[in-house]
Amino acid sequence: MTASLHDVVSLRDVVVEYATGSTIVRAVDGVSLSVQPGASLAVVGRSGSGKSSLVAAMGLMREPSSGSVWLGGEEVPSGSRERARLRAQNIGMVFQSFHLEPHLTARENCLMSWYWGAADVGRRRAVEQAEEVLGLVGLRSLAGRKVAAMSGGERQRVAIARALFSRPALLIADEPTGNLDEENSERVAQILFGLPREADCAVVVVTHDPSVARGADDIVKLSRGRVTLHGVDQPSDEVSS
Amino acid sequence: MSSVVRLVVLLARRSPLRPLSLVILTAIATVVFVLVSDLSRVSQEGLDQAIVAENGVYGSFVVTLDSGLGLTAGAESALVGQAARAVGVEQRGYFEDMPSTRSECPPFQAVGDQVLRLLWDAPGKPTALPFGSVDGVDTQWCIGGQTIPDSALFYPSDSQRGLYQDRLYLAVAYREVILLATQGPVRRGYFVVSRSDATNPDDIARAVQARVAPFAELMGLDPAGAVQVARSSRDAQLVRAASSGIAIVYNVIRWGVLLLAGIALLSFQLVATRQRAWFYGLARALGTGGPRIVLALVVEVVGIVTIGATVAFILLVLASAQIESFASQAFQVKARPLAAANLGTTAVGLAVIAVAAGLLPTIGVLRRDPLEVLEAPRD
Ligand SMILES: Nc1ncnc2c1ncn2[C@@H]1O[C@H](COP(=O)(O)OP(=O)(O)OP(=O)(O)O)[C@@H](O)[C@H]1O
Ligand SMILES: [Mg+2]
Repeated sequence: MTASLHDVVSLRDVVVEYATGSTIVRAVDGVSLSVQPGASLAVVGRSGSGKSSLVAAMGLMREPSSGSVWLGGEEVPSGSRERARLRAQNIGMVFQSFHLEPHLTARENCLMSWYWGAADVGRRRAVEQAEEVLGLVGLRSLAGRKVAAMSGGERQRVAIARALFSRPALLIADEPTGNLDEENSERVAQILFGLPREADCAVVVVTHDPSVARGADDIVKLSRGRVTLHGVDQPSDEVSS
Repeated sequence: MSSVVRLVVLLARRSPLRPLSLVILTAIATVVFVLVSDLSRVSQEGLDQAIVAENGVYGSFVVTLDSGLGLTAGAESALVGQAARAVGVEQRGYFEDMPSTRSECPPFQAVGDQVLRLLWDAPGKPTALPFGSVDGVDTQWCIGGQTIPDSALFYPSDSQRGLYQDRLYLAVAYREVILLATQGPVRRGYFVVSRSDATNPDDIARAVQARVAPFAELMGLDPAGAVQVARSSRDAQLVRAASSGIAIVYNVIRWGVLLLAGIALLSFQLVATRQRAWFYGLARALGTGGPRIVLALVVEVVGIVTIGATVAFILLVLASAQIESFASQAFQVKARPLAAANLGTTAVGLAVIAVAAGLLPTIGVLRRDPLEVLEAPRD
């Protein structure tokens, strides 16, 4: 498998290992895959199969023990400063917990990366940008509401909007519906898998929920750190196992 | 840069409980620090002044000149005064010890020979002493057929002895009575007061000797032998030592208060950064570099300490009139809590606290694996 110039992200023989005391846990064991622009990918697998570790390497949050990560056709160098810069420009991340500041409004939460100095624009432009991304998740009208006064589903949508603030080429969501009920899960999944169309952004979603995974263009299943199934044409019970 | 400051301000405004508590804590600690610093200063100075104000009963040194020089009290006093000024100390009055005498009234055996002392602020100006206070003298003083009334005598009580020593003082009016009834020279000693423990008695002696030399030559005396400088009263030195002991206690209190405030501030920040680990983890996930995160934490603490110190300063300015009147009524001292030296020390202490409480929590924040906190379930 080669990394095409057009791939948003691709992994080549990525290995992620953790040293716990005297033993070394190999969480990701030589995975290669790539995500095309405008594509969506679901990552499924048992608990402990290495899904979070895989997307952490993909999102440049962990440096692989071996193998390489390519962004937009260029290999990601090692060195935390350069990786942080690439991450800020190209990748948005969403987690199971929303990690929002409850006393701030939805808009202010979306401005977080601007506050931290990642976006080199004036405040007025930044506020416009925040409202645009809130529009993408259908929350433009709630931009001025404090997160503390929002439902779980709304909060996760604010978190997605925040991840989109810098208009990344890739959005990675690790168990984004883990804290949500069925109805809100559906809505969030719908928004996430609509992003390639709406925001020109490739999407990778880690999920336990087969009904969420079904929304993706492509599915990979991990077990013990290896890809065991690839593609959507697989029985849903295998996906959910 | 400025957007990080905005974020810190925004968060403090939206959840003000912690920053506000820490501002109040800092303000209280600052007020206590400033007040105790001043208390330490006035207690030290007040005692020094009290000691010095007793016109030489405690002087740091006593200068005595050989009576063979044939100088009058006025001449001696002027000479010692010049010499003292030349070495940066102050001459404050003198004593005259009468020749040793014995009371002629019974039961004189019990008292024995005694030296009566006179105190002068300056030649011709006797020191005001509480004459008539003679508790503990159980004999009449009779000499040359005359009785000296109690109203012309002063015998220090136990509490006065620190300053006046265990001596009997005589009013100047009876000086001639004693001199007529006794033989022998009057011994004069000049009190020389130094505010510095570093003053060397030999320096004073040399300065006086230089001025005495012409007279000594005239009388055929060795100037070195004609001048003696001795450290004065040990009691007063004990008082001074006690006062520096008090100053140490005050120092322990004020730096202790500041240290406790610093520890409290640091603990609050450590707990807060631990509880809000996700916040800093998220900042890292958003691509924020370590220096900016350090900046945010330091700006927060520096802001808290600055506001707290400003609040304290305003409180002290508003209350300064009351503080001064209270201090002068209760302790007869002039309080100056807002003196520049006080504020300078306070500012340095607060700056150390702010930097420590701002920087130490960043170690934990930067060391923590951001993913560990971000993946952990929270909401
Ligand atoms: N920081 C770490 N230190 C040591 N071992 C770790 C660490 N993170 C993960 N592991 C181990 O790596 C393996 C894969 O973990 P990972 O979190 O990637 O799985 P996962 O598929 O995301 O599981 P889940 O569905 O429960 O979130 C597990 O065996 C886990 O115990
Ligand atoms: Mg996981």
